[in-house]
Amino acid sequence: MTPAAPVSAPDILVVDDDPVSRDLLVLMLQSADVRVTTACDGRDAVDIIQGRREGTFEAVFTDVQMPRMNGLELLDWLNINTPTTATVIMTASQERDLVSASLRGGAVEFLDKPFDMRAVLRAARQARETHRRRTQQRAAAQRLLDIADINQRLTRSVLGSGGHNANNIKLSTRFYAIDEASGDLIKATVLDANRVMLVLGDVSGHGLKEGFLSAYFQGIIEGMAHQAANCHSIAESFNRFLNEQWNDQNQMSIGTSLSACFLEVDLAARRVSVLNCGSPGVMLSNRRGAVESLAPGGSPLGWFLEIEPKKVTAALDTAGLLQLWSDGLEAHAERIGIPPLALAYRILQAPPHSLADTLLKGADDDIVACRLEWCSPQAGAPFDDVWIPIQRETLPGDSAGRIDEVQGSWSRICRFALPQMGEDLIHDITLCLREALLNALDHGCDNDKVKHAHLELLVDGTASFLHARITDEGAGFDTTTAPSGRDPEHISLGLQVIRSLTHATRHSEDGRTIEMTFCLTPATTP
Amino acid sequence: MNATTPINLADLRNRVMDDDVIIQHMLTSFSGVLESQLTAIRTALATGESPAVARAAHSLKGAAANLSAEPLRDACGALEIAAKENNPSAFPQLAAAIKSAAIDLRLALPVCTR
Repeated sequence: MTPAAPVSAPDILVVDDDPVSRDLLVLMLQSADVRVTTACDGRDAVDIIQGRREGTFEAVFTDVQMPRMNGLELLDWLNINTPTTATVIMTASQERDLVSASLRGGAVEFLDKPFDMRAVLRAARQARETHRRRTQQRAAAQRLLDIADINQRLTRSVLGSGGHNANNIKLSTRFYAIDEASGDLIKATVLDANRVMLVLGDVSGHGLKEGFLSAYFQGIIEGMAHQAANCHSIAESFNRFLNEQWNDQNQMSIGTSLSACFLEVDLAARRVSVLNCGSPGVMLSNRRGAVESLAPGGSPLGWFLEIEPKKVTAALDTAGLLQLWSDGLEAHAERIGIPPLALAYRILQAPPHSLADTLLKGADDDIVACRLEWCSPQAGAPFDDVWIPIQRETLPGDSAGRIDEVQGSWSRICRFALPQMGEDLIHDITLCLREALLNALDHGCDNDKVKHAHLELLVDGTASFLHARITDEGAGFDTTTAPSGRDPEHISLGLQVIRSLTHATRHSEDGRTIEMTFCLTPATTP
Repeated sequence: MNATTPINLADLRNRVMDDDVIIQHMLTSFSGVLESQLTAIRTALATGESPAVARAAHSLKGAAANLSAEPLRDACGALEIAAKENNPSAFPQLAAAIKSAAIDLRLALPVCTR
């Protein structure tokens, strides 16, 4: 018999009413230093699990046909009561299809009877990995829920500080950590009745040390902000700390860097000041979703003795939004071939617990996304009326020959950002964008590569309408005569197509801009 | 090793990766439960209830399969199928086949355990 398993060995519960099979499996698992507990049927297994602390068993290996409670009933119970436990169904190979068809959910492994020791040990390894992954996902989901709660508290804190109507400001964040410790952070601090400081940070690395540094940095922000220090002072202070750590010979010193983007938002003065030290920067959008990229770049804190930030101050529209995210979001966006704006939109629209298994599956860096929205209902600019950008691109005037290649990205973005959208609508949108863009390149830019056409895709605050805006750098035309003039015969075929497929079409800036609105919910009217 | 050998030792050794401790334990363990499993089948046959016969045959089939006791496994499998198809007329002949295979196996077990 193999010696007793060490304390750190995995625990597996073997459930089988056949003592010979049960004993054989126990012996095989114990040969791999697995700690094994046995149960003679499903009911016995439930009693044993309920008698232990939660998470004791990494895996349950169960037979199917058993008295009292069979393996499939046990699987159902496990999925509900111990969702991190991996389940291995033991069955004769010729019965597997029948068993598979009976499964009502819960990913499982199969182990053929009679047992082959190699397959048993492989199943044990896979089950342990499954358990580890599920435990991490559960912890990540819990962290996301915690973050959601923090968001609510932050928002209440901001709103409760006075000066702003509770309906005028909204803070949304999503945080996805790929490992158990994360150095990414998002911190909102109320400075006074009208000012909020937002900091998005990313400590290089994913270990406990980075998690500690992140927490330490947040403490410094909180403390210094309450002593009326500005963003520059906080960045300088932390930069000094990191440089001291680099030069410290102590083995426990923290030799790493931190990219951080500081925003000071003054909602009364309608102004935002950005100080960026190595993060992707900030996307500022006005009420109609026109995007301005603020202060990308700068050097991360800890690189140089003097900080080298990018700094800018910009005015805020009566309503609009500020978006910022970590470089992990940009890397994942590139990996899946979606613009960061579209990925940020989708992440921030999705429930927090839905991120890990779907949108962010395969991400290889922590992801943080944050959106601060404000509005002025009294000025006729409620939240619902703010357009959120999901794509913006600029094309040289001689791009008409690439139109087939370019249009492929539009449908992909629409499917990703607005999964509720039907294929017929995506086809209509693509057709309209193609016609409008070709018109902008041909007539607006005269197919001259020096001139450019700009395309923006935007979604309204209720996700009821998609707006597409195309602007060219041409001379424009007299809108009183063409193409929306008084003589319908002069309206081009392309524009007729657009008008027939859109909910609304508008021209502005002397015809250099066309805005097309598509209704995402057929019953809705603007 | 031919197909009628009570235990396919080569297959058994391969499945347990030549672990003599496990083989010894399995043979001993099987010896301990064989009689009770046969009794369970006999009892089920006496009641004439096909579901009970199927369950008992299924149980011994699994134990025999783990030991690579192929003739007994096949005999139990045939009885299980007949029971699931509710074909009691086939029971006596199939039960005799199980008994025969079990006797051969019982004779072979001491040899294997040496």
